Amino acid sequence: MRLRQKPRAALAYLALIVPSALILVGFLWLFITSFSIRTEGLRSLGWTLSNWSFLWKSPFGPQYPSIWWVTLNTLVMSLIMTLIVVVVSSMTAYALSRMKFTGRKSFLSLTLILHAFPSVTLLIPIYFVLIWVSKIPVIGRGVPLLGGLGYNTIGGVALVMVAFQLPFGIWVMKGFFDNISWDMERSALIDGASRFRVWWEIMMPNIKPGIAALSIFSFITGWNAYLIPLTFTAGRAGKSAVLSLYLQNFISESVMTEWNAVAAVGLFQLIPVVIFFLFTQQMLLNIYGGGKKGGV
Amino acid sequence: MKKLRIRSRIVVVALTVGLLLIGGAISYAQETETITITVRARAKPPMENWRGDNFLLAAEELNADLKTAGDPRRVEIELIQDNMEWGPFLSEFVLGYGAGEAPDIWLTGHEYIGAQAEAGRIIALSEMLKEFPTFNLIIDGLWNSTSYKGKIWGIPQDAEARPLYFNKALLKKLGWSNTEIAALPGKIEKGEFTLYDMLETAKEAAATGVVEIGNGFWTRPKNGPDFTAFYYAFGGETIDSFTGKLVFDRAAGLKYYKFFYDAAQTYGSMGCLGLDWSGAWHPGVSGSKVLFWIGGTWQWAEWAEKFLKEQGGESYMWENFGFGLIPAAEKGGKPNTLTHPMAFLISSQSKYPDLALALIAKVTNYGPNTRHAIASTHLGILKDQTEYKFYKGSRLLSETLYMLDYTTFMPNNPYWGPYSTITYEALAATVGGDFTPQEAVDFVVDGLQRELGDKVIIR
Repeated sequence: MRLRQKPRAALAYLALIVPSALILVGFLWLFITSFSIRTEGLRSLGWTLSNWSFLWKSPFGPQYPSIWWVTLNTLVMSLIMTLIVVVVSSMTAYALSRMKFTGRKSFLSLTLILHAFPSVTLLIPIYFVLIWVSKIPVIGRGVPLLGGLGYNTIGGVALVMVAFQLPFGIWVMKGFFDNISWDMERSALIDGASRFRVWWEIMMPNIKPGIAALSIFSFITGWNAYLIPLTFTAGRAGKSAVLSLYLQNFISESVMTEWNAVAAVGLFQLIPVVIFFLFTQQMLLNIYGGGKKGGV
Repeated sequence: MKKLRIRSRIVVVALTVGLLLIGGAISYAQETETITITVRARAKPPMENWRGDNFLLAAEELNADLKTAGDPRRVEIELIQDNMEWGPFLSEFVLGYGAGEAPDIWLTGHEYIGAQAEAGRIIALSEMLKEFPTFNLIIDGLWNSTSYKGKIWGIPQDAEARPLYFNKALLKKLGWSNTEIAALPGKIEKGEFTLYDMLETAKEAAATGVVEIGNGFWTRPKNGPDFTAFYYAFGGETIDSFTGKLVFDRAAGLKYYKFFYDAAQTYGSMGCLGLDWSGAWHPGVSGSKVLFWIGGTWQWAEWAEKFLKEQGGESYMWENFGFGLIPAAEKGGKPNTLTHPMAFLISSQSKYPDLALALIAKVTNYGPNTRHAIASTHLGILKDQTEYKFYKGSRLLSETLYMLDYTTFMPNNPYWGPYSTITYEALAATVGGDFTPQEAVDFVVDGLQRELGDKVIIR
């Protein structure tokens, strides 16, 4: 029996190791390249820290924004986007999962249709919405840190990203709510809890893996967003620049790309995502365990 | 008790100083008004950074002028400068304008003037220029590039020539002597060495294995202004001076497309279209794989700084590369080049166009313009700039300045975009062997008439 199981396990490991190794080699190259003057495959032709000099001085000149300012912009945008997506998706999904009301199915279908639209087809209508928002006093252009919620602001970009991410979020969260037994909720309602309290105190703790999953997907989407920030902010080096745009400064159509520096910035861009993943991975792994540990 | 008294005194002194500072600040704020002027520039770092950075120095000078003149306004610069592609750079201006947030000063290619002037996004400067005599320093011919419908809409910022570069080492391998190589730019200037002479040499180089087939002669890999210079070389015109409409000349067009058809199909050149700029084109020309190629003077700095730094930069290039005008189409004909000046435009949304223009006047002077010219190997735009002590220090700029006497421009017409795209599509198909020269001309005529109707004159 054991003998028969061993080759099976070995095969399973082999099937896992081969594709994982390919990905790991990619990361290894990224790491080696970011600390190398030049590389031949995975072999460094000389070690250097100069590729990381963007951390303490702008590689393009003193008038370019610091990487830390750009990182702060990206972080603020991604966190705001994640927060709104998670809160709004979970509230909407709860209503769609648990309440019967007219237009429920149509609403669900509509969100799916919205998700099917490629973002590029919606750029012009969104632009007009952002211009309209820009004209609203304070909200448009006067929010500290975010700049506002209008055109050429971090908040405006976050708002657009939220709109694109919400359909996905609603469907994911609805799936999680659908899997929770009615009994717990019914007991709470019989005990006199309000719908909001049931949502917050009973349902939300039971879908933590779902919240974690949606959070990390939303965060990564915001963190790596390119088209929306490119279209709705001014310049790759403006006050609203984000990391994905900043990275493009290294890759130009007509000037030699310094791949070692690109690798370093790419690795730098990866760090917060890895940290975010480390904090949420325990909950993420529970998704496949059937929801909350201890079982619903 | 004594300590308490000392503390009280310190508090009183601190409060007094604080009040004085606040009072001073309020009083200064009441006396002066700080105005932010936004400058949006496209520049390849670090070579072209002076395009925008000059404004930071100019603001200090302007503030001193304003103070002296008793003007309560003070300027501060918000500079947005990066190396964005032209398409997104243009979209950004249009979208920003739509949102009421266009930059005060927009530095862009002069060919956008027609479209932006028609859309009302930029202002005409003809009248305002009179208040700043510095602008009289600009070489007269360059104003043509920023004029549209009889008015001036922009201030030329830099100029360049687009020479025919040649690789001296490869010519030597072909058997050319140093004297012959040194004489080549002169022969081109006199019309003794024509475009077809160049192709013959390129063919010989490919046949003898000096270069690979396809590498005898290269143009830029994508659509761009350089091709227009070849069309001009064959007698083509792009604009009707009387109506201001675009022009396509069938006879010149046929010769133009025949040249590129021959180059690719008969002379084994033009293996360049579609190449990636930084991945293949620059390494190809700077890596001595190509005998003749058309490039810009600004690329000299790029090769020295980015591609050939380890080989010795400029000194290596002087040893191995040479340049001349784009040869004439026929013996005794006039060679040419093309200048595509960048120009400062002022947005019609700018609340202080006078200050914006004053800043542009500050950067349009020998010092600031020469800083940019030398760092980026662009040509100067000012009269007698070659006499300026620091400009003279650049050998490339001095040796290419004569090319401005032979220069041509692209037209300032709002419909230049589709015109350029259609004529290039035909060229790419000709080089690829999909079109004969006549088919290319027919394609262009059909395309222009379909896209532009009576906005283009077909001759």
